[in-house]
Amino acid sequence: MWSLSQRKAGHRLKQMLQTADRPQEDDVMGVCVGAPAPDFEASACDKGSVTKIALGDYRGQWVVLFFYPADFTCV
Amino acid sequence: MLAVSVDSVESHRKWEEAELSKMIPGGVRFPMLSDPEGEIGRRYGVYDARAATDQRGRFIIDPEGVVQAMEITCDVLGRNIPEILRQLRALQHHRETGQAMPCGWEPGKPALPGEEEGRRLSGKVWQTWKLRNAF
Repeated sequence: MWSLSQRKAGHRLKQMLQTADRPQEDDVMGVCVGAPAPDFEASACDKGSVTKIALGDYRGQWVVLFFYPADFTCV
Repeated sequence: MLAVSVDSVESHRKWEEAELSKMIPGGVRFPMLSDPEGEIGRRYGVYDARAATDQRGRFIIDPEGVVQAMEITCDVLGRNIPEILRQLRALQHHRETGQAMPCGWEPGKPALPGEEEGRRLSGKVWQTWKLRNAF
């Protein structure tokens, strides 16, 4: 028979395992090849100037959209 | 070309000035977008909530706004620019000719018929296309 403290520790461990390293459901949408690319609009630095960029601005052109983790990193 | 990270526009500007402009002749010639809450990253399935950053994902989007190719790599594995250009050229070649681009295709290498004519090749590709073309 587990003690109260053992049951509490087990419950805490179970909670940690359920949430660790896994994106929450409402955080992940994702895309599919063959599906429309999700729209977006954002502030941007473009050749030194601050501007607004929307994906729709590029309709009619090929777009290479790339994400990266952080500025001032090495890879 | 559109670049996105969770950093601010000001951080992008500073990085471009301090480092990228020294690495790239003429500096960065495409927009660097700011995605501070990871909203764009979430829409593309690349936001890492634990690290609060967008992962190294890249998407090729055609003129109609449809995703045609994508790749995501871990933090320590950088992209291969010639591969991105190769894929873009292959997609454009398909659009112009209707052909399908087999493994390792580059401009000048043999392509295969697309659509129905391509389906008739099922089981017979070996007669037309050699493995050495993949490299």
